[in-house]
Amino acid sequence: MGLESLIGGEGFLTTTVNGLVNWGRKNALWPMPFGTACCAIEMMATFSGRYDISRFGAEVVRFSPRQSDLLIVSGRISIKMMPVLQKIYRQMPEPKWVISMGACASCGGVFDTYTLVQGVDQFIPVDVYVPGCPPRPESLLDAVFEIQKLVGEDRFDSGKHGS
Amino acid sequence: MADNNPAYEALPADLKSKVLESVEHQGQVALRCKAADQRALLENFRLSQGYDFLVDVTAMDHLGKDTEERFEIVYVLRSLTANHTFRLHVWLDESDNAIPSVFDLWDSARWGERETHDMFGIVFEGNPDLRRFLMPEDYPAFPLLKDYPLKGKEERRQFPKVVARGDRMVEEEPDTYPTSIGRQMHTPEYIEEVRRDSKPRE
Amino acid sequence: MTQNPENSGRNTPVPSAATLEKELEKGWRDHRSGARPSSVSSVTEDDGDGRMVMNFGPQHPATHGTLRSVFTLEGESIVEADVEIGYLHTGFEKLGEHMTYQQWVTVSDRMNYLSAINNNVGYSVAVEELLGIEVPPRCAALRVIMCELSRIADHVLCVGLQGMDLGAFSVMLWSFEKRELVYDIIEAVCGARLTTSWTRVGGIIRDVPEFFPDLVYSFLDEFPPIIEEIHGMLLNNKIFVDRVKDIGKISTEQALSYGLTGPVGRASGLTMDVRKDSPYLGYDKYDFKVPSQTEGDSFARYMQRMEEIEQSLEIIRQAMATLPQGEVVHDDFKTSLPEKDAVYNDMESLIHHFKLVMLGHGIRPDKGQSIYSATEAPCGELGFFIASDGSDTPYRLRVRPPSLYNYGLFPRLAEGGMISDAVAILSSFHVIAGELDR
Repeated sequence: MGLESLIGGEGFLTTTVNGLVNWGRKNALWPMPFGTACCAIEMMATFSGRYDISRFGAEVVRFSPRQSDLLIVSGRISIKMMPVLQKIYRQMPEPKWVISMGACASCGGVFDTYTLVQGVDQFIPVDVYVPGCPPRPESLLDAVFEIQKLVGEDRFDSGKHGS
Repeated sequence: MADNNPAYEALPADLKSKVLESVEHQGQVALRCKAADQRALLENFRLSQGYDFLVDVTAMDHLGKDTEERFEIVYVLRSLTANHTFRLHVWLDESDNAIPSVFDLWDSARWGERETHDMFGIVFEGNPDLRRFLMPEDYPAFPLLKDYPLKGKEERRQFPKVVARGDRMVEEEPDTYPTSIGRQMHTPEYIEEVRRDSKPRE
Repeated sequence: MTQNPENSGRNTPVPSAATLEKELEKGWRDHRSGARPSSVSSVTEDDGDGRMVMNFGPQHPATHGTLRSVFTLEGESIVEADVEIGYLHTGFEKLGEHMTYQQWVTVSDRMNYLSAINNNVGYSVAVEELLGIEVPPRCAALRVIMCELSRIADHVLCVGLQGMDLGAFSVMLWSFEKRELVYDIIEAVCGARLTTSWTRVGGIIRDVPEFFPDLVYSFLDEFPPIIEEIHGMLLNNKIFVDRVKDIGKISTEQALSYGLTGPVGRASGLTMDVRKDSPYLGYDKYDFKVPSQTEGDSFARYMQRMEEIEQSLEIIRQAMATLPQGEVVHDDFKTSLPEKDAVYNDMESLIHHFKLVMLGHGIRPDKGQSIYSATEAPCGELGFFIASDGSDTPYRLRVRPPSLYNYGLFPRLAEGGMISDAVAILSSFHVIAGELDR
């Protein structure tokens, strides 16, 4: 029961360009893992065997920001790291989405200290937050679904993500 | 005065008199001395007594406490052959916060001292590499000093903000920038500047 | 060192094709004349002596988190190496001065997130030593079992990552899969996978579930074959073996002087193990060996970890066989939290609990007491220096992270080798950024 059953006998498919592009985008997210601390380990667990993010088309991990469209900020971001994160965010081509994984990236977590940025959303736009310290791999998968929803609702000509 | 610490017992008489006191807690001995005698004592421990493993170097800040001096440098020494560990606490005056480095005795002191410098602003004279370690180069403070607040002085908020404007992402600059972080790193001028600007005392 | 120019490409005007062509042509000319174009991304040139300065990290898959190295290269050989750390500096020590003794247990997990339980136990042991209390035998045995499980998970992951860095990706996937076995046990015991916060000062949070022995025994049955499998995959892999053998040799003297501990130190012939030298938690009751190697290269560090896994399995086996029954929390409730059941149903326990968790009460060691206490974490000697001023928070809480001192030797080792050797060395050191930077 794949796509071919929907297409029918003549081999035609009517859709919008928007729908087609979003369908492609959301099922082939290329994540850029910006892993620093504990959450990075859970993120790696998500990418590996048992939780296997490739079931949802997001397994092509690219460590080069120029080849990826989903930034997963996982772990504490210190004031020394923040410029690096911003540089990487800027280097990613549009359209791009950001997951802030875990309490520390989202709000500083238990570390209300002099060196830790209290939430990366102060400085870069964040689309989906994942609660947890660290979040379980299932939570990260859920966040990827949320991103897929966002991508699906996106109008690629709306200008939100450049053109 | 110290009783069952072999490291103290083995000291020659003139060095023994340099040890101010010896505190024992749960079987672990801590010797105390003044900054002027630190080098002689450590040299004796390393070269004559074979304390060949410097486990850790750190410091304590006794700001506003009724102690001899403000800073206390802590050396944790271990002899592998004798399987014995003890600590040497060195009082360091606030007005002259410099102490001889011991990196030539133990290489592990290179980074231990560098971190202590980064956190407390204590200068280890002779250490070849006393740049900032954990903090950005132009961080304006020494964070583990007791008069530095836990939450810092708003350094963590001052970054450019990437926001969407129209169809593109632009950066908004904050009003002030105490730390610029992206500047040239590790230049001697810069290190000089940091030392000058951020004295560890009020 | 030169900073990279902004390469965002968003706000700069796009150069025309003609300009680009001209630049490329000039770049090629410069290349042929020996002067390369100066703004290649992340690789910058020094002043014309043919040396390049290359940034490696802080965001790079082979840097294991947030390590940054700056290599001065001549061709592909590293002539000068410098490392920059602190990208994950979190302020654990400062935080320790503002949290009570019990509270800091929670934070200690986040320091070395690959073996959180070893951090919990190390910190609890340190505070217990400061207070002079001894935990009940069942608690000690359970702590030993969990510590060793955690050590196995950490070593397996390290070996997997070592394989991944050197091109044997499947080893990493397999080791992650086998790590999940340990996570299952940890999850059953404390409810979390990574950040366990399992111990308390004077005990552990609660007794293990009834099915705990079944879980551990099935783990003991299931795990040993994976050692053979990993050996089979890596030792028969000529690329892996060639890239780690005789790479990053550390002499015993060097290891001693730089303060290397743990598998890195023991792979260089430094037979030091806190579990043997100054046993805590009754490690002296168990019969185990401290393996050590003499070669001191990356391969020896790999072999060292695998042998340590076998010894850990042995310790777990013995500890499970002799697991005593009884309480898991020290019975002096002036210092250790009573069990939750008792708190809800018993007036006295409620009062104890209240006194312990109220700010300004809690555990208060005497003024001026201080202790340096070390435990053997998977990375090496994890030491805590705690000084008290008589209040309910430590006056100074210093962590002696094994990774910091281990990593101190890395730039010296990388010098003289190739870039690819630096990766092989770094992955064998197993530096945890959270612990390194604290």
